[in-house]
Amino acid sequence: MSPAEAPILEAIEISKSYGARRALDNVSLAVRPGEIAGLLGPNGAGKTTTLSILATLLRPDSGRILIDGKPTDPRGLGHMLGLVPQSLALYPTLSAAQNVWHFARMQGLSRDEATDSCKRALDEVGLIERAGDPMHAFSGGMKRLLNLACGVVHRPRVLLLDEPTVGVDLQSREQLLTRIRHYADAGAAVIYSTHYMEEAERICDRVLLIDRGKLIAEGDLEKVISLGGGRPRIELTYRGQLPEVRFGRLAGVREVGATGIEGKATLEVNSLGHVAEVLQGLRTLDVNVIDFNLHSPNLSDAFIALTGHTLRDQVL
Amino acid sequence: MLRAIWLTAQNEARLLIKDPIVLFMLLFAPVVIITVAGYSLGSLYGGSANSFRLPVVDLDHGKLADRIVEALRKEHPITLEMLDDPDEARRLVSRRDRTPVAMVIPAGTSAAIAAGGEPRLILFVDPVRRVEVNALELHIDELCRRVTEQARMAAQSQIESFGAQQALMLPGDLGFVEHPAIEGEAVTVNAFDQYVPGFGVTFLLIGMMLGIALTLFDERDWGTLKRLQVSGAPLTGLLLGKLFARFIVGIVQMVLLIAVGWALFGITLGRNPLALIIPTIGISFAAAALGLVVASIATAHDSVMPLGVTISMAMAAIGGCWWPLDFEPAWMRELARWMPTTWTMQAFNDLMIRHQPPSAALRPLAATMGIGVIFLGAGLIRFVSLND
Repeated sequence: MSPAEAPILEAIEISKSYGARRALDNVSLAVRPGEIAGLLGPNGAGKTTTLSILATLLRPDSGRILIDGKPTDPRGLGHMLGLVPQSLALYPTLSAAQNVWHFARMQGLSRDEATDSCKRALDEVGLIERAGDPMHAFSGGMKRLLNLACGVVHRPRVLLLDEPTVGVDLQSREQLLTRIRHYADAGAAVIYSTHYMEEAERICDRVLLIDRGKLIAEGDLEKVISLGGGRPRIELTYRGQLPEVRFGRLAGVREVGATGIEGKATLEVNSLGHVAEVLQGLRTLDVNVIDFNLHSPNLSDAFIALTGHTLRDQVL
Repeated sequence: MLRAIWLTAQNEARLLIKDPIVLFMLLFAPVVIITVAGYSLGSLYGGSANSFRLPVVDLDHGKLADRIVEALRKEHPITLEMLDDPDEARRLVSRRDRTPVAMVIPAGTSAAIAAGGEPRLILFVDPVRRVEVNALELHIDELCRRVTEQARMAAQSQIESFGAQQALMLPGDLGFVEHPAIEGEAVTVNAFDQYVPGFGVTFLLIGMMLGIALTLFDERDWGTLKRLQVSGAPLTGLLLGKLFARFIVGIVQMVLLIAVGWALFGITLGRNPLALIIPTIGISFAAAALGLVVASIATAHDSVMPLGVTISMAMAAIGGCWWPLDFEPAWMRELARWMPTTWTMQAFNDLMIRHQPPSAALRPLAATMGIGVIFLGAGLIRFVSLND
């Protein structure tokens, strides 16, 4: 399902301070049905504060929350929100079914609805066979899947996910991402907070990059990557000597990250369409290229370019 | 090796100093319990005893009665209160108004002893305050012995003065007999009648405080509390739901303990065993509310245990769960009036030992519930303000 035009949930110029520290500064964002919006940012950037405000756990100091374009009391949003927190918000001694059923009931579902929804949610995440087992007996990946099932059991219109794949193996991560995509395809608006850029690249339709409490970049993947200013790179392995000017005669080429290792060089080019021309140019320079890797700019490059290398935990 | 020992010891000391909970357990908690126990049980070890009011009814109006009253006036811890009506004296004991014992000197006591008989003073006693009764009876027993001795010496000197010309008799022995202050109740108590509800309440408090406070910390740590809050359920509703479940568990716990006490130790269940549910409801409610207070003031999971146990034990001790309230000095008894344990134990004693009707437990219930409401309000306000 392609994202519809009208957002379900909008945050308009929300701000939040903790004492003298401004955690969020006039952040506006919106999420539409069928869309997965990736909420990215370094530690302490304001992601958790944003999610907490959207999840109605925190009240913003200023700004508005709109539901279907109308101002709404955040306290009445519970039934349409599903939260999958980073910590496993589960009862360890209860069975998988008891966990899901309890949250279904708390979301306002009747007994029958809760029973049906519980089965459906456990089936969707592949835990129906283990429904009667206590949560503490589950593997890390299964716990994460159960955590997801508890967040979606009531079929929320907005799904808020806070690093749902932390600490799980590749198989479980694969299954989680597939399920999340499925929920979005079924019409849910998803806000997905993560530190894993490859995950965001894989499932997010749009990226919201937040840093120091401000929304510093927003748009689809291509747009945000381009905002990072990154360019394609060619990692060369060559034999023999380079000309004295090295790669200086090649138009639109800049040697970057010189390793000093003889036989290796990294070239940055203007665009992917320019790569063939550069390789041809290397031949005219009599550079004996024996291997090369092409590296397209990705979200990680843009993230670092836009947020810098400073360790935020140290700064904060 | 020595270096490792030294460095480890240094670091351990550093950790200890930085852990206020450990310091609390090491120093403050024992000081609280020692203070309560020391003041409460001090008189048992020869410390300053409490003073007692002793209502006395003189129906004899003879010389012997005068001597008894005069001797009682000289007893240091006893304050005499002369009454005319034995029923009034009895009522004072049954009202537990600092009068564990009342004395009646029956009509004809002086004449009976002069005639060589063995008259008996009547003591109305409160069986719940057996230790105090025993302490007072020691004084009265000694007094009877002295009075008898004096009467004998007077008779002896009379015999010596008159020789054998008159048929004078030596006085008999003066003694006393116990009567229950409330018609139909026993004058002695099965110790388990005190200890089953007393320790039942103690463990109810400990279980309730730890149970509620720890599960609330668990919910916070697990993240389930946040998830539930997101569902739109008001935090106050979530808390009250938890307290209600624990409140029911507390009632079941207390009922089972009393049933076990009855089956194993033969405790008295009073006129109407069902009435025991009244103080049980009160203390379960107050303890659940207090559990919320502990959850709201404990700074971390680890601080719940020392805080909860110390509060529970101090409250149980001061409230008369471990020993009769009248052991305690006046200031501690005044403090006890603000504790739910005090009113609960009063209700249990009234119903089980004093065989009072269920209505006797209503005032203690109101007091316990009132204190519980204060705890509940304070706990809700603080917990919600910290977590909502």
